Amino acid sequence: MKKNIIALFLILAIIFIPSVTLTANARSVFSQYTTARTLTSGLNLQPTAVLEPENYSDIPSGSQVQSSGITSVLVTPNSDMDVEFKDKTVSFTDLFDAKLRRLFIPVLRLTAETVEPFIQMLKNTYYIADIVVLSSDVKVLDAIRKDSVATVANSVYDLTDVTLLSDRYTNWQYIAEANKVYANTVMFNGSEENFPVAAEYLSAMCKVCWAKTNSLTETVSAIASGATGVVVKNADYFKDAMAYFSKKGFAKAQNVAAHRGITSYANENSLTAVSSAISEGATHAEIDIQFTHDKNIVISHDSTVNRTTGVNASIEPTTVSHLKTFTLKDYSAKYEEAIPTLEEVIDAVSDTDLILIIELKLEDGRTQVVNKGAIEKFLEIMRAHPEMDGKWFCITFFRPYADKMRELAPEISVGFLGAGASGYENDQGIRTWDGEWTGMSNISSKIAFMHKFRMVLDETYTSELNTTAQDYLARGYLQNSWTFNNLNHFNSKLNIATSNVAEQCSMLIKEFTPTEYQITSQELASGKLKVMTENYCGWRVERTCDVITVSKEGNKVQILLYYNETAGSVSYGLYSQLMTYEII
Amino acid sequence: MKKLYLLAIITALVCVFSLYGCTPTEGGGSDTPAPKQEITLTKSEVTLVKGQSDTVTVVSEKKLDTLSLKWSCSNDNVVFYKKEGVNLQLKGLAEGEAILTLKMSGKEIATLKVNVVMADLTVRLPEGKIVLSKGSTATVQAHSIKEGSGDYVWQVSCDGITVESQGKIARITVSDTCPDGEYDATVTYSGNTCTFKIIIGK
Repeated sequence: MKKNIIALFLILAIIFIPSVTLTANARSVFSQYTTARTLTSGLNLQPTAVLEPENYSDIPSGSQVQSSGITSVLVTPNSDMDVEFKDKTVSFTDLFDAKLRRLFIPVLRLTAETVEPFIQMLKNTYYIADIVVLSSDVKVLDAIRKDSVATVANSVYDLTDVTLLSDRYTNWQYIAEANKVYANTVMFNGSEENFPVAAEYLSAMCKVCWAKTNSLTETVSAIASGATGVVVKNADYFKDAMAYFSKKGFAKAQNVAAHRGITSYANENSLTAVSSAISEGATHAEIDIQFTHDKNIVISHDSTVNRTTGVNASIEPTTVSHLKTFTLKDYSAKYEEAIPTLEEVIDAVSDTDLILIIELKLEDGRTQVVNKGAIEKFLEIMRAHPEMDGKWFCITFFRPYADKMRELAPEISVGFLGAGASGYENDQGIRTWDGEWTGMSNISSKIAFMHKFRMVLDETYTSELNTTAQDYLARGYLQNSWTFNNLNHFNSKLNIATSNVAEQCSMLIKEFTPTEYQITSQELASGKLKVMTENYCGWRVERTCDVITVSKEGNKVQILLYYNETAGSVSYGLYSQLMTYEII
Repeated sequence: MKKLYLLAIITALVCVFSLYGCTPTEGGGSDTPAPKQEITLTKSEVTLVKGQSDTVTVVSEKKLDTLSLKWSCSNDNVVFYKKEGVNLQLKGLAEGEAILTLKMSGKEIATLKVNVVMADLTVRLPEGKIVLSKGSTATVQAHSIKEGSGDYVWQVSCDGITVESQGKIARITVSDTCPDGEYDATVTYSGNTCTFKIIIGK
């Protein structure tokens, strides 16, 4: 009898202990994650393919799963957490078990009525953790953000009902709203005329941009416009669209950030370095900020001016007017430049499209600088310049600054300057993340970390990033990386490459800017067309491009243009947007 | 009694003449007037193009104790100033007006009005200079605050420096044989000219 009781206890322990452990783990770490799927194509970074099936039977199964290229499945549950397909109604948990588990990342469209049942469902299903939610209602996304148990991989802000405008910065409001509820992905209608403007701008501001498409042509157009995700009703749209992108390259020009400005012929973090980043055509300039004794913000990587000016002085106990008496030394005899203030940098860039990546160095993460109001002063300066709205975001190694930014400016993206998947916490030995950065050697735990601290990725470059980029992308994280001393970033799956040689991109192709949309039958047959293009620095060059025909009707043809050039030791290819030409 | 009246008149005259010799600034009681220390500025008003620099000098007949000279500014965002002995270095930071006040031993002795204006045509180089090494290439861009007519014309005063241009964009290439030195370059657009320097050799 006694033996039987002991055996019963043992059996119960075997059954329940792993469940309890898994429940605990699942809410903090996505212990099981689905690998993002890609198709054979030439694109450096493929958009995430999301299927929104009308029928239960449309969800790929068996051998179709891999060949479909679909990574995520978008469904809309009702308040009972049932999903009503045209051919079947099924509970979400049954759908998950039968069709999605370990095969597709579920994306659930939620409303004010379904968000609470969804959170309840998550609490009861420990094994569903690698999941994305989508809503057009920011209150719904905020409810997800606030619930500490309802951990999801990411949220998508559905803006398919908005009309996109041609002005790049009108899209800032959407990013700000999305950031406040920590939705790293924004979804627009891919058929919107100004979708390419939005897609380009969102990637420059670290946001994943999904396009909802309704046909093969729309899907091709969205991908060629730089969509980093496409939501299709028919899996074949994505598969067929990717066939047009077989040549190696980018659907949209890669973002290139000048690290501390252009430093090849100017002092790092100087006004000349920042102005030169504009002239050389960098899309972003990365600068570092420090806090002064008189509570101002200046631009400097180090917390002292020893290295940059040759004068032994710390910035924090020094006033701006005193700092201004020191001359930056690398080019000192020639430029006679002093350390710039943040105000001066803003003044130099505000009339341009350069985006500032502002690293919160601030005495290398010392909490007392935060307590002295450094972040408040920084935000006061930025907010005094509404012309800079939507033209900057932050990066940091340090948790006190990330926390403060989240509290005071939730609309601003903050990038985590991690040091690679298996790297170290920071380069100063200050362990500000309470050791939570450890164990980030796998995708699931890193996503959990990023989600907890509401940050985006901006890590030192390792080749590992090329194998993980698609998995991060599927969950709303574009991979920004630093610091390149050559053009190898063009071979990588990156969104923003921070470079010490950004000026080497100056004369590379950035855009196709044809002046007329006519093509002869001979040109179409030869697959070659001379068109005007624009380099990163704005220089216009006529280039002979490859023509890829997507559709043809009467004398109208829809084509993609492709151009490949050698940049340093790398081959750099770029696709145009989908364009309609008249055959003459 | 007459002697007493005469003494009173003489005393009164002495007092009147003594007072006449005094100046308000030097105080009373001196038998010989002290020479006036004239302190002036070489300019009373300066107009600076944003990003450009100028120098104003404090002038005095006597040698000045420069440590006692103190400058203050009504708007630090408009102009950057730096005292170097009797010289005051100025740099236009932003469009606007500022008043600089000079005090000596706490007493105001001069003011300087500074107007900072936007240049019609600038090159995106805050110091108006670009420092390049031999064999290197850089891109610079002109910035006109008005939409003008005609082409941007770029010129440089050295055969060893090639300037290829396309409108407001110029590609500067320095040959391997270009001698170290400081060369003038200009861009002209719609009647406005901006001069900048190309410095070869770090």
